[in-house]
Amino acid sequence: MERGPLTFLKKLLTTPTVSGHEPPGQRLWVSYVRRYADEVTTDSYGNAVAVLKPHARTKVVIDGHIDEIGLVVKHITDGGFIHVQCVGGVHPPLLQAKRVNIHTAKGVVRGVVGASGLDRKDSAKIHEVYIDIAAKDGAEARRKVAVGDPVTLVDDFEMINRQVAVARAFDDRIGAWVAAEVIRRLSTARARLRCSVIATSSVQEEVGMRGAMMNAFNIRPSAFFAVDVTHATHTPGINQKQHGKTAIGDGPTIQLGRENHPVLTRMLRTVARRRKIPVQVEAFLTSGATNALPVYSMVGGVPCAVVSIATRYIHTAVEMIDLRDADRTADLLRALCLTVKAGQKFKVRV
Amino acid sequence: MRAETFEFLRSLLNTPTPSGFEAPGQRVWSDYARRFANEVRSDKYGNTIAVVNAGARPKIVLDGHCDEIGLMVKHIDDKGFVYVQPIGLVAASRLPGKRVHIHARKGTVLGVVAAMPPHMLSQLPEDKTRPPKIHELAIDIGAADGKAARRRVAVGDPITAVGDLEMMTDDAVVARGFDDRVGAFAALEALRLIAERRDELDCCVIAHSAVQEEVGIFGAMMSVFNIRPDAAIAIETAICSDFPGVEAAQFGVIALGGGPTIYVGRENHPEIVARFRAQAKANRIPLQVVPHDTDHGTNASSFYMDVGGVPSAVVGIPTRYIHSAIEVSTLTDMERMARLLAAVCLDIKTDETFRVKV
Repeated sequence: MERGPLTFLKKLLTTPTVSGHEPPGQRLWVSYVRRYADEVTTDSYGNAVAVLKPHARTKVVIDGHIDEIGLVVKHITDGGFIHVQCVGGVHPPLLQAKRVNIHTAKGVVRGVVGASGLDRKDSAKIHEVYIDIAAKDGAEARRKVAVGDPVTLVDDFEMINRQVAVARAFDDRIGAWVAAEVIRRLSTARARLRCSVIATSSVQEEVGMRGAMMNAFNIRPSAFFAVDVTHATHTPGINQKQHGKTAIGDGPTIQLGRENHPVLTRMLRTVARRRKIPVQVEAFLTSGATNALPVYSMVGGVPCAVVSIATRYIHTAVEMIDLRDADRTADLLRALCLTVKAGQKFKVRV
Repeated sequence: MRAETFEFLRSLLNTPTPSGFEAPGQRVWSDYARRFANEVRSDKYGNTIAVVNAGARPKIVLDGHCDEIGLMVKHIDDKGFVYVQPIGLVAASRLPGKRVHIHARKGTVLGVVAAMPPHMLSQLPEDKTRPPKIHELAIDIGAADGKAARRRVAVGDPITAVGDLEMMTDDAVVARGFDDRVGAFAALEALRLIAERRDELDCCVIAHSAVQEEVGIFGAMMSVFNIRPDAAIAIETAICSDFPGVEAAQFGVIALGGGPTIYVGRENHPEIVARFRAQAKANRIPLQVVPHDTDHGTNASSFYMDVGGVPSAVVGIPTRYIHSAIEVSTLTDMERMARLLAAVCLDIKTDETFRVKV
């Protein structure tokens, strides 16, 4: 991966972007993509949209959601301990004995999720979990943090080997990175583009794919590519008969069926073959969803396709990807955009 | 049933159309529609409409969904066995021992769903003999190994159970997936009857063959936005409760061959329900009146909610053993449904609206 894009990725991954609190990450995204796009706008809830060739008829959206799962302060006890609620699909038992950052109005307050041999619960519910910021009492705690403050785990980006990286929430800052990268990689080939390419860094996916639904209504895409993570299943304990076979390092994953429009999936496979980009194939998700799911039935039907980056340990603090898969995904979508003809429509042939 | 109509029914039912892969069925539907409709066209995901009297108001949609439930190849192991995920609501326990067709790129591949012989079952512990979950099923395509299997089928290939249409008597008929190709059939047959009396028709009638109902009524959501009907009727299979093992106290009585059903309550607009009851009476068509199903949705759920409130109703063609490979229905009820729908549409006057009177 090139230096500039890698630096951007690292910054994005180490910035807190809990659903509903995306602006710090969104600012990074906007300032990166502004150098390459013709237009950059944001909307009422903070979705960011970067466009190349805004006046072309065919509008191809490349979407990644910039929000991550996290917690939000719910209650501060008189003893100075902090209770939280989940934002998105957090697994409470995995929070115990972790360090956290509480993002307050005055800055970051460090805490730990208390758990020891004496009080550890193997199947803790979220209200049984608490954060300890070593406050003397409730009054001191309330001077430092407030109900509503977002909370993230401390775990940040690091390389495990030359290709594989570990971070909190590749889901789905890596998708937002791909969307921005497609704009950057196309900006030098602008003269060859026959369609409008619209990168969206969407908000609030983890709490119901909300930002993408706003974007679909406002943009009315001709095609919508949701770039997200998908479960890598090549690790012990995962039944591949039940979850399919997907591995980090084997290339971008293409999904088939349901919201995945057959014309778009065929284009993806053709472009991948021509550019010799290895791809993996999976069936549409029966558990979990991406932004493509609500979008495809909106505004009279939006042709969608999900392109995913295989990721181990999704929704934990140790998500793991092969950086080459992200790079190849950006390359694949860049190449696909260049094959779109002027005014092209995407229709199932009856 | 006239020969041409029966041929259309048979052709439609025998075409595999699992959700997301409806195009072959939509082609059969469109070919039949072109014989009498003014316009036939489809949208980005394949929802297809046939229109008579375009431009007239009110605009009435008669809807059936062209997709059926099925399976999709999820994984192929090194021994050559195929593992699956469901497309729609599939009962896994009914699949062992069935023949299936895998619709692969190069053509149809025959497979069987592995079933433990009873000789072995009796010797296994209880946890190994309980009904399987979908991911515990294995499809055998007779391949020597994984490599050989992957030359013939691929992850993502759709699958249907083998079950072409067959007559049991001169009226009772069995097939895979009456749900809901029979609804798409009835919508179009009604349009044909209406087209024959075009000069008596005041309103615009649009027969709609929807995609992807079984995975979440997604096709209807697209179409209600595109069409903006003034009223919409979803034609489904009515779940018959008249076979052994079903309690009337729990499921009511819906009888095979007892006539079309009409549902009441929730999305079923009282004005529209009243029209169906009046026309059934006037045309001597037996009608089974049934409370709306609290557990399941139909395309009408989208019609009535998604663009500010479209007066809607659900009607059903009585069918036994829904979502199995052996759905049983009757030609009589199919024809009664088409006649009833035509009568209701022909009775509608120009610019009529349907409102709950307050």
